[in-house]
Amino acid sequence: MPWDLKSDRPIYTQLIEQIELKILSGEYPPGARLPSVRDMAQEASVNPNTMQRALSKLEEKGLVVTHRTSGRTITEDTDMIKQVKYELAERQIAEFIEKMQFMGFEKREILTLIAKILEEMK
Amino acid sequence: MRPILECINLKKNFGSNHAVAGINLKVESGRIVGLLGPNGSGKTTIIKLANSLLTPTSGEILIDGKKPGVETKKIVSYLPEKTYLNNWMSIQQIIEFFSDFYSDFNSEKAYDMLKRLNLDPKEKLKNLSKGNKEKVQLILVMSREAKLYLLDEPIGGVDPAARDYILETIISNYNENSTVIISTHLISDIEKILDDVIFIKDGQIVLTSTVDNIRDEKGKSVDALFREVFKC
Amino acid sequence: MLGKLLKYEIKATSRVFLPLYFVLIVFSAINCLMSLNPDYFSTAQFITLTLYILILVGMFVASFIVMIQRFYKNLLSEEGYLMFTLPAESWKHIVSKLIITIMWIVLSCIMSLLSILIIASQGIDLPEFLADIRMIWDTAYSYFGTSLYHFIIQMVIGFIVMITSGILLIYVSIAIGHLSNNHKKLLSIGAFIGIYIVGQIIAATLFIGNYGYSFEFKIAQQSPYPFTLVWQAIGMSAAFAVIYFIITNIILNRRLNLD
Repeated sequence: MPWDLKSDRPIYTQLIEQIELKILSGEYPPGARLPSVRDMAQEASVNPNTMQRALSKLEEKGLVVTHRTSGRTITEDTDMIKQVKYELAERQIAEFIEKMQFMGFEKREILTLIAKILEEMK
Repeated sequence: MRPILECINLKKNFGSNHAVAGINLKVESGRIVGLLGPNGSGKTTIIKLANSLLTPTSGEILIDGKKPGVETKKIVSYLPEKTYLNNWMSIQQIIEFFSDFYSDFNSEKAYDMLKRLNLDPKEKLKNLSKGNKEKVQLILVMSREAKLYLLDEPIGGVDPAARDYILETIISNYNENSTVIISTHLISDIEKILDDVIFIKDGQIVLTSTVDNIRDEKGKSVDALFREVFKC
Repeated sequence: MLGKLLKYEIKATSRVFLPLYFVLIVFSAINCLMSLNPDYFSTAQFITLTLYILILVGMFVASFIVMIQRFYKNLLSEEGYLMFTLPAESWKHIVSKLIITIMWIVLSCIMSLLSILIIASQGIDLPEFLADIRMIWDTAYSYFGTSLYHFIIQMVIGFIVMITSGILLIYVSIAIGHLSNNHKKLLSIGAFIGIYIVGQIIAATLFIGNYGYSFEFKIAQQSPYPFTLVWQAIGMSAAFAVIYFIITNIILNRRLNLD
């Protein structure tokens, strides 16, 4: 999945989100070794300092682990990954519901619509 | 740590034109900095002052704590806006020239980049197209392992593919001991690789910030902010 | 750094001079061979002689043009961005170009002599030629005595000093012209003429003006050949050369304004 960086939000926050997505989707599986900061920066065409900042934040969150001698890996804590997944999902849903409400839909209508679309998607 | 570039109340007048009108600035190592401003705002003048191609009217400019001179030229790598190549050498000869005069020049890197950009070292400089001349100049500048890179409009005259390559080269050249200052007005292309930006207008600094802060606090890209600040 | 600059200066300029010297020698040889032809003033001979003279003159004209061009184009036009960002002091740029220009002028003189010798070689009988040279030397020796060597040294040094001073005068004129934004060439020519005239006036004041009762002239009168006077003239030329150098260096250091 290529990096998609918008211009009106800080790059490092976008990098954090996109790396999270890569972890959740399995593109970066648990325990996988990450490329060096410089390589990742080059791949994403961003400043290495910015990539470093994003990775540090992810480390704080616990999604990324730095090993003294062997670089960075994705955490193997699958529970935590699941937790992040659900947090992200909840955020997406909340955003979605807000938007729908903005358009004028009631909560019940929203649920019906969701069921209908899910059905069609099968 | 000592800033790699420092300006202390720097002024440069050309007759009655106050090209640089009192600049105070500190740039640290390991940063990629954008020097952004409209034409005639003083960007090129500041860069030339840093290279000792111009002398200040008053105030000081220091590179790694020293006044511009032979010692600073050894650690500064400059890409001017113009093509400055002489016309009798071949690409190989100018690489040898640089290698001879600059102890931090890495010939291997230069030849690698030439290959990547499909340029033949035996080609004579005078036979190159303008775009290719600019690529050669960029290769010469980026093959030095300098502490300060001063790039004046590096992506102006090149096609989008070459532009990407140039940005990629700047990123891959990055190390904590060197700083890259890019002067340009093509901001949207270059924004995502910048750490910091300096907006300059009429010879004075109007804004310094990190790119992240601008996007965070103002919720817009640097390019958008630039258009606002410098609206005609 | 100076050595490297000298090396590159030679590389840049030999592309012009070496072919010229080669052509000069070739035409000398052709002319020499032509003169073997008893049909003395054939048109072919005339043409080759004319060509030879053109090349000879062209060689010295080239020295002049290359001298100006190397200073102006390489330092004060776009190439200046390349040269002045090199980690070398400005005086090294001036000196390297000065030395190489002198070198080419001296070489051109040597090449001219060589070419003349080649042309004349058919008509010369070697022992007779050497005897002629001996005779010139003996005549000179009878005039100068042991100070013949002094004379020769003075001529050589004088020649070099005069050339150096001339070259530096051109450099300082170009540098002064660079100070103007719009009228560089005009200001250069003006500066050249102006400085030259001032130099001549100073020279006249110091030497000829003191004709009747000057201290220097009395000393000069001690020998039949005015060695001291000539040394003084050389000294003055050298002093001018130093002044031109200093001014050029100051302009390149403090008033450089590449466009």
